Amino acid sequence: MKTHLHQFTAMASPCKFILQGEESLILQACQQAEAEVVRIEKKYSRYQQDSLLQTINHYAGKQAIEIDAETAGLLNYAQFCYQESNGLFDISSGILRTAWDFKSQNLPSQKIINKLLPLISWPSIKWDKNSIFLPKKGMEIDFGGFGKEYAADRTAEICQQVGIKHGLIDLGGDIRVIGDKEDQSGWAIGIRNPKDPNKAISTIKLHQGALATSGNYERFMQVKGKHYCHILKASTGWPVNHWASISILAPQCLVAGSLATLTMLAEKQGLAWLEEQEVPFLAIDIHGQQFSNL
Amino acid sequence: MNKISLIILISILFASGCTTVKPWQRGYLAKDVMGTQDSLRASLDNHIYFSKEGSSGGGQAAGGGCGCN
Amino acid sequence: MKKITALSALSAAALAIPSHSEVAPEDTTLSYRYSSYQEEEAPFERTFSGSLERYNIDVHQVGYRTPIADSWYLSSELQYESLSGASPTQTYKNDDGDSVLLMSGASIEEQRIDIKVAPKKYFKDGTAGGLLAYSTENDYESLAIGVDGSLEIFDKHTTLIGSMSLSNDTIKPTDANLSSARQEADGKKKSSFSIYEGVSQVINKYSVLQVGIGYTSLSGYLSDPYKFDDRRPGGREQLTLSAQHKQFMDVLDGAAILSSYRYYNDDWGVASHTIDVQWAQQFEISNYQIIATPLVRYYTQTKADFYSLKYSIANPLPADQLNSSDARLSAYGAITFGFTSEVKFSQWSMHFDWQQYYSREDLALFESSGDETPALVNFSTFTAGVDYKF
Repeated sequence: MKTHLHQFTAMASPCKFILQGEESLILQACQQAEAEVVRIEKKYSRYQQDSLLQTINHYAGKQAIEIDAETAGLLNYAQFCYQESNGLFDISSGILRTAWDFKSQNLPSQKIINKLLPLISWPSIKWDKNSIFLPKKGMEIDFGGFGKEYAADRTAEICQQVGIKHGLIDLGGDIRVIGDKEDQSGWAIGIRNPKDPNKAISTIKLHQGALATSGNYERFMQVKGKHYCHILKASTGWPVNHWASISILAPQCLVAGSLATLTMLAEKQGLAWLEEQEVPFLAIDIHGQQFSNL
Repeated sequence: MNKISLIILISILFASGCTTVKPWQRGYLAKDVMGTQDSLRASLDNHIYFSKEGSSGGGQAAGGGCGCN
Repeated sequence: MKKITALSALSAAALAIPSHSEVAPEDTTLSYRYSSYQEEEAPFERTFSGSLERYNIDVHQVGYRTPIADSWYLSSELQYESLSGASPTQTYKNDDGDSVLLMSGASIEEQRIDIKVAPKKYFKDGTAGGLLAYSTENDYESLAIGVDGSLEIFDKHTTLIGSMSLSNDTIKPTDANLSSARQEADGKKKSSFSIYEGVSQVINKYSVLQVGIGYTSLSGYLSDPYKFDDRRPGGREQLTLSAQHKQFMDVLDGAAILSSYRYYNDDWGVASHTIDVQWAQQFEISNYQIIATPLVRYYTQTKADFYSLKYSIANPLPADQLNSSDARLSAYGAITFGFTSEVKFSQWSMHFDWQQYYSREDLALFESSGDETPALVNFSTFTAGVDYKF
């Protein structure tokens, strides 16, 4: 059975569908699956002014915005992440990007961060299954913390519905298997070496489920020898700095990605917590030490 | 006559100032109260009205007939 | 950090996110409806002969809808009706200017079976479907086929809808030897060609409007063989212009105003207006979803060119002249009051509908003549039904 590779760019990442099966079925799956990635991107994009997300953010402090069932489901999921992380994972923390410019090599001023911190407050956001209201002007929510992983799950489901039995979705490194390789040997996935992200530090064979990785090398800057990455703590506004990368295997990419992010946020306590979750993982700390139960 | 009426009908629709509705805003239009097509009830109603009144047809092409007296 | 629950909590929350796909319906639904249709008795003081008791009909409907193969959906309906009662055979005006109604004699008992099968294919931007319908009863048989399609354009704000059908019917009047009209009709055919084109437009997130035009052409034996002095043209061309509007109303757990209007015109001289308005009100009580919908409908029609109450046994219809005293071709108006209701919980839904229909010559908006039309009937229908989705 031939293996078909479909590539495109979306969500600011290289996206790949690797599918095995009948030609016309693959064509149909690629069309519908790519359309689904684009749909999710358009709906929750922070960069497109008329996306649902930007509409919600635009009316912060002014009025509630109606939402649909899919958005309510994602907000509910964000709520669980907030609870499980004891407040470290907060989807209203995206405004910190205005303080952190990773291209500049300059650390942000504490004054600016102090101005933003009161606007980071998931518990203060009023939402229910029909609408959401961000109470203070300047508040924003951001699904960037799990948008790609969610899209990977939905896309894989669409491929399954179309009838694809063997394949996987890879959206910028967030992987969701549609079905095992035809010869049942598992899809070989490389986990990036945090110190040398173009090389794999380890390879995993995935037969089903998802693999997601959170790393400190995705967006970062080195200032005076210290490493500052894009994963910022909602409570302080400053980055975490204990783990270089966390990779998690779970049935859903959304869950794998969240567990990875939550572990990064928990810093030192993350390992013990991760071991309690009983999921397969590979954790590499900033000194290069590896912890794994794979 | 048919073509002209159709063009007029479509023009009236666009002149009425329709707003753009995003896909995720479609929720209201799909709600159950907005009339999910209960085809069994529609079949019965049409069967009764078309056999008891002098008119027939409306929202779709005719379909089957009956010896309705 | 909380303990072991994170994985299961997040997994459960993730599974609970509904997807947004606009694909073919995925459920299989089995439905049953029982309806009882009852006409009011013919007016005693106007009925000269025959049975006063008009129609009583029991209807059983079974519906089965299911996805088949890839993006295909099949809908099917089976209807069994059992009818008893008498019907008007003629109305004429007597020398005093009163209308006299003749009814058929002993009440008839008839059964009718109707089957419809409609497959439909769902594409990214539309649908295409077909229809096959067959019905048979003691004195009539009908076969019809049709195709339909829809296409979404302008970023799915506008949907073009079209359908077309053809039918071919055969008439075999019971007791053909009883009258020359019945003999003449025996074995005769009636065929039709019908098309409908419509456009559905999303106006805003709360409302949608559909307008459409329909054309039907009938040919063959179109008279009523059971009525006296009933001779109708061998063809009938019909035109409809219709509009349906749905408006969501944010009342309680959700409501909607559903209204429709149809203008009808044919080459027999009958023109009509129909308007119906419904208010659908939703209630959510624990796990039950209830929708209660009161409705009202008004109908008014003009008479056919060849409608008259002139002819009777005392004044027979000349040969080759068109005529009918069928009340359904007279000028009259009708009003319906009713409600439909639905109670949904998990995979089940129950339905209870009721309507009361009154038709009277003085309810007509146009052309009412002042002649009485005692054959006009009032009826009521009651329906109880259940659907199961799996």
